[in-house]
Amino acid sequence: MTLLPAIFLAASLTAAPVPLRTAGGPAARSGEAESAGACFAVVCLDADLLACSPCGASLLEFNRTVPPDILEERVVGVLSFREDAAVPDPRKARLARTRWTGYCRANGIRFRAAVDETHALDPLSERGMTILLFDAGAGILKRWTAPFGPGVLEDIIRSLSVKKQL
Amino acid sequence: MKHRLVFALFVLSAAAVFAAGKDLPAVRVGLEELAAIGGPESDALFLWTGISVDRDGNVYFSDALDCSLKKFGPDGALLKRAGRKGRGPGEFDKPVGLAVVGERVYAWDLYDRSVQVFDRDLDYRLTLPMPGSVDALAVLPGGEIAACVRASLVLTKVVVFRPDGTPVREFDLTDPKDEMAPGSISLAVDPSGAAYYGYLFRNLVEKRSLDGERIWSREILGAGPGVSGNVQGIPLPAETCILSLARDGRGRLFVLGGSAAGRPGRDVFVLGPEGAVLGSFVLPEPSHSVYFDHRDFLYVSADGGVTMKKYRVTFK
Repeated sequence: MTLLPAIFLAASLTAAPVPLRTAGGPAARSGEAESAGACFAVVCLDADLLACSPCGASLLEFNRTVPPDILEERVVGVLSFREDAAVPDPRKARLARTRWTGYCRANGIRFRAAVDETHALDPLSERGMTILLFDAGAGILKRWTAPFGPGVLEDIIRSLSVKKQL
Repeated sequence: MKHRLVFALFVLSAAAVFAAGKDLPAVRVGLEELAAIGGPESDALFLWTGISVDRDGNVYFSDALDCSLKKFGPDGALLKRAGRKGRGPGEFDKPVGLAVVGERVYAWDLYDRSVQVFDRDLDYRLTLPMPGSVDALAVLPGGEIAACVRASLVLTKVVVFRPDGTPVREFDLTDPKDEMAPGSISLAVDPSGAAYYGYLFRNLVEKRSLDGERIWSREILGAGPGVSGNVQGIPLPAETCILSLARDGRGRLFVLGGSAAGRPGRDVFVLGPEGAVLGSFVLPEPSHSVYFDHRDFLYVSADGGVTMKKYRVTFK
């Protein structure tokens, strides 16, 4: 599995302006100097499971627990969606974006998300939700899969709160 | 409402329509697309679950993804959005259905043992407690309201109440000793007050009297759903059978087949008032629901619930 899309997404958080086609959530922000060099999280989600309340519990807990400034500046979602590999349908990606918009509206999600049209990260969202922690060089530092055990969210917050000295 | 180029689709159920191996008579149905609401490029609908049309042609939806009720005018313009995520008055966790009855809009939630009542402007009025979560609701000829209520995993009751919530009567629709959970149940009522029921996890459509006496029952699909596992010792079906049913003004019953049908969410079986299978036709896209308004226009979902499409149905 290639992680290039995730690396691109994570790296884009530090670059200005953000070139993602984001779906819903807060408006895309241009890169902010204080974020440069810090860690970033990529949240891999299955857009087809957004309507499933039990499946979304970990996502909502994450969104509720992580401070808003961290969510807005250092977290990006990657939405996977199901598609017949033999018959690619661009409408499916648009539907995933639309669903995310509705989900954000109801649940106050504070981080942006992009749709992974390459399907490279599908395996990471097959069971609901995976969070990848990247360092500034886009190397993966940690990986967590929902449901999260005790202390995981605190660990994520701690990791994302560390800013590299410029 | 976004008018589209009139689109005539004649779906011919071939002389031998195989619905899970069952031969059905040929029926030729014309579906003319009249309008649509929502779509992948729109933020009007995200995952609509329930639909109802009032006497003025306004279209109401429950939307399970943004936890709202929405009202659109006859021209498709969004007139009002109401509700938000929560468990209080006017709030929803997962709204799964609504019905306009006179001046009132009744809405229900998958995770709530109640029906919330709004006016036609979608202003919240009151909450009616129910003995379980509601699957479906329909108005009876005398103005009373019948609701299919899930009292337990296997027991579904029909609760009849007055518009102000006063209980009138209830009866068990399923047997609490049943081994297989029935799943959510669809409901349609005819002018005599007789009701049609379709079972998500049973290959079964039935007609019952006002008091719950079975008038007839039919297996529409070729086979039952099979078993995939169990929850709390109760077998879970491997497939869905009846996703939805609706009755048109001529007394025909339209039954939408689930994954146990040949084309999940697309095969529509047409039954006469006495349960005779008249034939079947195929929707252009999978839908979770079929609904007829008072003018006999058919409403179905498309794009996984992001779009609603309205059709004129003609029989050849």
